[in-house]
Amino acid sequence: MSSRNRLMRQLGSVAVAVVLAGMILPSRAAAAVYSPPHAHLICSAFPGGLDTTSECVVAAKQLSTAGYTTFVNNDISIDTVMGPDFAQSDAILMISGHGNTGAISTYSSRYGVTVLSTTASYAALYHCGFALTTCDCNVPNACFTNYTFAQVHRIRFVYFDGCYTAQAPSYLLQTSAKALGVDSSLGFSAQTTQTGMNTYTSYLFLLAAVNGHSVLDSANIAQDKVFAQYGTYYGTDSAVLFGANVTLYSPGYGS
Amino acid sequence: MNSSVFPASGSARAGVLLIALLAVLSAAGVATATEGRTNDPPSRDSQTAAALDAAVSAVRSLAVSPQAGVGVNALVVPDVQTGDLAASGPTDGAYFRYYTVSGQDVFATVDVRDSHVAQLLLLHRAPTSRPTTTITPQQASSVASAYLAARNISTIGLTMTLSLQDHGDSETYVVAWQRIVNGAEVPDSREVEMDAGTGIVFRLHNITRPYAVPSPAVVGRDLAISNAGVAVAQTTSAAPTSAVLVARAFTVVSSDLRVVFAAAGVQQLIWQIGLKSTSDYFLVNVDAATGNATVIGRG
Repeated sequence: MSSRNRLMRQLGSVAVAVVLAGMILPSRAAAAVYSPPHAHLICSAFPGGLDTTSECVVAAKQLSTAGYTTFVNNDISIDTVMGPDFAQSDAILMISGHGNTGAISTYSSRYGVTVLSTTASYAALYHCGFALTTCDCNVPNACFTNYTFAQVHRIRFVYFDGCYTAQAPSYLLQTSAKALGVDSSLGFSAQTTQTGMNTYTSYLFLLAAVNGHSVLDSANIAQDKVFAQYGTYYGTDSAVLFGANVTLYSPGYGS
Repeated sequence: MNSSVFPASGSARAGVLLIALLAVLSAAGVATATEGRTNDPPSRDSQTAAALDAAVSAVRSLAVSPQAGVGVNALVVPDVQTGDLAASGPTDGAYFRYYTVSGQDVFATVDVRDSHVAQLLLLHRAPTSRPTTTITPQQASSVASAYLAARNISTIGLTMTLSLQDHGDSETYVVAWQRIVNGAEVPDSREVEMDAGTGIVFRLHNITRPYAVPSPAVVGRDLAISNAGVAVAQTTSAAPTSAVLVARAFTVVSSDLRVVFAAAGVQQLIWQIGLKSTSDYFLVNVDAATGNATVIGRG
């Protein structure tokens, strides 16, 4: 074998090694990133008979189609959801249930539940803690406002799917989300009805995550879809949106 | 081209060429001897295709129609792109069977019965930022009225309501009209939504369909509310179990008499009752003739 051939063989071996390294190293990095982004859809069954699980199911269907890794789970802490084993950059969080003016109850270690609710007028009732007599944010991870920028900022979109989850002038939930680094959030300033919300939620995520519309366009179309189907908006016309131009299309990282 | 890719005999090649020629002629809309005579009724597919085309045309015409300012700042209204509009359907809705027409800038529904545009949403005219100042309610009313008039949509005999709505990133005025007959809302309504800062319209509803004039409700409002409460009690163990307790436990947040249509298209007069406790919300339809109550929604 000539020296030229030996050199070529050595170069070939190096090239193979580089290629193999290129194949292995990124996959290790990807394993730590949990691609694609996660969508955590938190729904609950409530004592009054409202069970929002169907909304999480329709949302999961659309987001899965779009390429998100979806989790429909009850009673999971945002602290867990946003921890290193779960959501990564550009995740989606949906919390569906009852709501009213005030903070959102996320997960309470004392009460052991996750529920979209408030600390305001419903505080003394079962809305915030299921038939417990007290409910406040003085419990670790009990309210959305308990979380930190480091825990929440990677979320791309939060869907506060419940009545009166967006109340002027403070818009507590959404301003909190914005302050914590969330790119976009959607809530409602009036009473919503689940009959319409199933349809609305399904179209919202179909249009935003699968079809590539902005969150604003998706919300507007979903609202008109509900009207066409039911002859009424069922409260979806009270949508309050921050981060209107954000899109959920093409799950990827970056924020 | 390597002939081995299409290994065919001479006669087979001729057959392929004939098929290809027929396909080209068919695609070009050229009638062939195998097609029906010219006085045959159009096929269902061609009727559907024509209806879909008509739906697109109706939406395009309405979407590109200019909006004039009415006592408001000179409007710089963004153009609406309609070149990509496509129609699909039809789909059964609450008041009408409709085609959906959509594109990057537009979402709309068109009533199958008479091809009128029932809903028009101009996506890129929807506001994305809050205005520093808003136009007055009177100006909003004028803008909405002029917008409908320019499109030959009448509001004569309809009752108008107006609201300023806060949507977080934006504020909008919603100007709505509803026809009331014998105290009942009938399927004859309009809605115009606009940027509260500029008056630029981005949503239009024009709901109208045939209906029989509703007779006065046999079941009064109070009985309807009571029946609604009992229906709620029967659907959840968490609710009170008698009408008296229901009355104590729930606040009536809405009570609307409406003409609706069942799935088979049968007209019905109903009370739609919204009941709210400290923890739950129920929407109940009560038949205004029989008093039968059905919980149709929770929140």
